Amino acid sequence: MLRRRRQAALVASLLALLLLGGAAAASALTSQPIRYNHNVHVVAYKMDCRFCHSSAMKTASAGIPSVEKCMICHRVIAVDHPEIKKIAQYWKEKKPIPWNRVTELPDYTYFPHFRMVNAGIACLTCHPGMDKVDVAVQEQEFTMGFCLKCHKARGVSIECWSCHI
Amino acid sequence: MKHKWAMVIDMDRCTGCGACVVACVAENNTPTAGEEEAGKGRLMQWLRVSRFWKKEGEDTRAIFVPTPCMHCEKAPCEIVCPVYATYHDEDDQVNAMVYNRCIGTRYCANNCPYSVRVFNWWNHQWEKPLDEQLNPDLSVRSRGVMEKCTYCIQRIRRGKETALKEGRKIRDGEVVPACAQTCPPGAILFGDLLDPDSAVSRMVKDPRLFKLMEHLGTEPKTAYLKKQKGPGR
Repeated sequence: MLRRRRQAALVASLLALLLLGGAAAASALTSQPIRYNHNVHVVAYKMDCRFCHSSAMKTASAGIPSVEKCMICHRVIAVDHPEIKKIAQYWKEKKPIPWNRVTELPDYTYFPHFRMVNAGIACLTCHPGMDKVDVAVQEQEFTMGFCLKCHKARGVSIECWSCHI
Repeated sequence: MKHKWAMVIDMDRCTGCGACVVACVAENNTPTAGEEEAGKGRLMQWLRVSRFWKKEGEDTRAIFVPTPCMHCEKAPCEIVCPVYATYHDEDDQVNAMVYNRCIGTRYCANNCPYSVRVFNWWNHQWEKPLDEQLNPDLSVRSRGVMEKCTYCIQRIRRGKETALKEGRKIRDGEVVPACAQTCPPGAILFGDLLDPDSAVSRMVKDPRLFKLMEHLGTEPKTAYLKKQKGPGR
């Protein structure tokens, strides 16, 4: 009796996992208000990451481009595309696009993007695969070991207070 | 690039106004306490202005001693931390406090002869709109961790970052902690002891220099300049 119940539980949990996995894959595509494609912009049109994420050169946060920045190009490029029409709608309503956060930085961590960019670290070092994805996903988890591997190899500060202030 | 940050407080200039305390609270996301809470000893200030009365003949004189963390070179707090949450920062030669590591044993505060460490007994709330003025450069500490004066490490970082970007050394007086920046009579001086030309390096040679509880051998990096005697003092 107990054994059968256990088997039933196992089957149920497997099914749930499958369902959840499928849902996660589907939700990645619908996770953002607009289906922005990194691959098209970065690889096909060879745009620099810093064109859109321009505050990465100046501030701690890399920043999300304003609707205005999208409209610099999309006033004339692909204006009939249904996703581009959504941007135009936000532009008309004078509202920011409510993007959802993708990359999670652990709590109690100070990470200045501009220090990395000015030191010549490529964006793809910490955001691998970002140039190939359709909808942005975080492929690299930011554990302390991941940060320290690079910091030690480059001989830069590994003091606690460099990042945890 | 190594530094040895130090602070010199001129007692001759300090008027005991307490502006440094307010500046410190605003800069470092320190929770505030009301009158009632403060009466129970629940102030979370990293810097306090200790007041002493001194009788001189018929007159009674007030002596104000702004007391931040002394950033001792032989810090009693560091050796008792079981999890290495408070330790000596090699690059800046300051006494660092890592909130992520702290498990809240409070040994460090008990072993600090200057009583400058404060403990978060609660998760503090900031009423609206005060939460909007929190400093984004440093963390808001949660319940169960110890905290203390950091010599405004976020400003030291910012100074270093700017200097690195412009490919030069940090200039003397470029990094100013919130307390020193706000002090109306300019009693608080901050700088790098490894830079022989810095104002702090000159001030530590002053014969008026003394340190709090020097006999303990903690070798504090926060030093004081004694009040001078004379007419009107």
